[in-house]
Amino acid sequence: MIKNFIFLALGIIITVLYVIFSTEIYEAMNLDPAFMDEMYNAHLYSTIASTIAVTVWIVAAVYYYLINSVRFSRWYHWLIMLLLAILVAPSISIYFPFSEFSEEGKDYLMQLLQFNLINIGITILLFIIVSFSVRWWSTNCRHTPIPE
Amino acid sequence: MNLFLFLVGGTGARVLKPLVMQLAAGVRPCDENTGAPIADLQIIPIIMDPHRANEDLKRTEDLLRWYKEIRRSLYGERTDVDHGFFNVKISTLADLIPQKGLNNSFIFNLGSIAEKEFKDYIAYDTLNDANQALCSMLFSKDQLNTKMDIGFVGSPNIGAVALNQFKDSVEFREFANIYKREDRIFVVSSIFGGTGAAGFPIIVKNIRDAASNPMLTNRGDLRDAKIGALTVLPYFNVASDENSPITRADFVIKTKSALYYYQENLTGPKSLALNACYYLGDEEASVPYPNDPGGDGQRNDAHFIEYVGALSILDFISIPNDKLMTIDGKAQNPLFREYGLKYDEKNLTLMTFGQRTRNLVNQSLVKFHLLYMYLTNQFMKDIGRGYTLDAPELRSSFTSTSFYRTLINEFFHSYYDWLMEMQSNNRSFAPFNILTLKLENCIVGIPPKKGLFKGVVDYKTVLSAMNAESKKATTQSRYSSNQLPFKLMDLFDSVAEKIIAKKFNSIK
Repeated sequence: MIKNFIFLALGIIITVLYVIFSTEIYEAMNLDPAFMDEMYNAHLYSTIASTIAVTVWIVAAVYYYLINSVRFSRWYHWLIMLLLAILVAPSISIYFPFSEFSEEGKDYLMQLLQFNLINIGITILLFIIVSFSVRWWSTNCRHTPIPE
Repeated sequence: MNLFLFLVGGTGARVLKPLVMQLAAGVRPCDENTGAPIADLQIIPIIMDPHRANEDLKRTEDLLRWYKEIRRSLYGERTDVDHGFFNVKISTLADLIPQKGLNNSFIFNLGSIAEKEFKDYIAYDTLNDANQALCSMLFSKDQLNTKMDIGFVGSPNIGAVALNQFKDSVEFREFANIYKREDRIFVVSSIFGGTGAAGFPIIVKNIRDAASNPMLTNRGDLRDAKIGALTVLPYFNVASDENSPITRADFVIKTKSALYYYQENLTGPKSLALNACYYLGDEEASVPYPNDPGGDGQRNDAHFIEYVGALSILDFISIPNDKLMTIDGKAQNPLFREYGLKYDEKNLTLMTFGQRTRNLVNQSLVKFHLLYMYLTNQFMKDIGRGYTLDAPELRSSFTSTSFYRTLINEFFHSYYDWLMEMQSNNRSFAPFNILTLKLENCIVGIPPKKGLFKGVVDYKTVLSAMNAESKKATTQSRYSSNQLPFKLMDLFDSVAEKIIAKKFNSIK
């Protein structure tokens, strides 16, 4: 039981750290300096990090507590939810800078695609962490994607 | 409480089979006054039948052995279990007194009878002419030549002589020594055959006459024992065969004679030997059984009368002590009970029985059938999912344990045959639709409740409910790693109860 709460606490801490240190994390990715400057100046890193974090937690909660069905409790069902998170979170996260740069007439399409790849990786990582944080209290999916 | 259950002759063994099924299903008799489950209940079946090759006897003995194995895996040797599948402990006489070196079998050792022809047993050839003439008057030539390893072939007069060795046997002495005042005795026999009709009065007489038997140490308690009996009147039909000594026409005549005898010596005001006596029979003839005096093994289909007969044993256990008083070997205010169906139909279901029976057995039987369906059709597919992964884990290696193999390959096989046989007999008793693989239509005549937002009952419903129950159990650390069989059965017991309450609540 304590173990489950430790996992939940770890998931929350990691998510919060990711949001707080999102600027440092993205800056360390060594993308195009001009693109990174624009992102930094527009304070987009924390917005994007928050969007990804919230999306991932919502998708995980929906899977483990709203769907929570034996008909949807196999590892490949979890994978479908991960794909959903990948589809939603980076799409939303690309929307903010894309509309920001479009208004200013700046073309960072390639950089945005590279940035999106990074966000996909982060979403995958975060979804795995969040899954392991919240799944313990699910009735039918607590052993998904891999047994406890 | 220990119940010493004497099962005499072929019908005795056949009545034991549904009792074992009912106990496996978790049917638990409760005190009539308080409604509380009878505490520390242990049943000690003692089958008395010299016909060891009888197929029905073998099937019942196997069933008892499997029950014991399964129960031991679930609860060890505990007797303080009052709910759940297989909760009542069934033991042999030898289990109670292992140090005495008795044969660890449910079958009473009648070896010295079974090996002989009746005339050798009574040493006919050594008798003088006058006694031989007397014997020839009492016993026909065929009866004198009967080899008793096939029983007494419908002849209670030879059974009455042969079974009299009962009182001198080691088994009877040991039974008498371990019998305690709070224990009970129940005798099951048929009245229209040989072994049962002869054995029943002998057993009761020897128990009541215990005071005059110097070989016994527990004479007072035994003389005043609480004794119940089920006397099964004719209920099955045998195919006519002019070469066989058994005919259906004789059943009624034999029954009448035996009833007169019982009235004089067991149940009447002069004797008052029984505290409770149950009479059971059916005028509706069964599907004719092969007319086999014993040579071909006697394997007859199960019949609903045996199922009802088993209920009499449970009924006797639930009678409070104050209604079963015996003083100086005389039963006080003995009880006499019969059984009537709620609806006199030829095709019986769980709903054909009266309210009391439905309350006692229906829920447990349905639970057991759901267990049978789930373990047979779905469990293997669920291994590696949901509750099976909660600690302690039910891995695929669990399916090769002796508990699982005995339950699935042996006990459930026998359960299926039993249901099939009862269904195909006359009257037909079909509580479950045994050909379906779907849970929603497995109970005959009782479809699951449906509502706008209520789904169907299927194996996913079971898995989901098992997951929820297991989650609770894991939080409470309810099962240890050496309790895997118990985990599975206990979880299913709770889950099935909830499913029944939600979906099949009209079974009672």
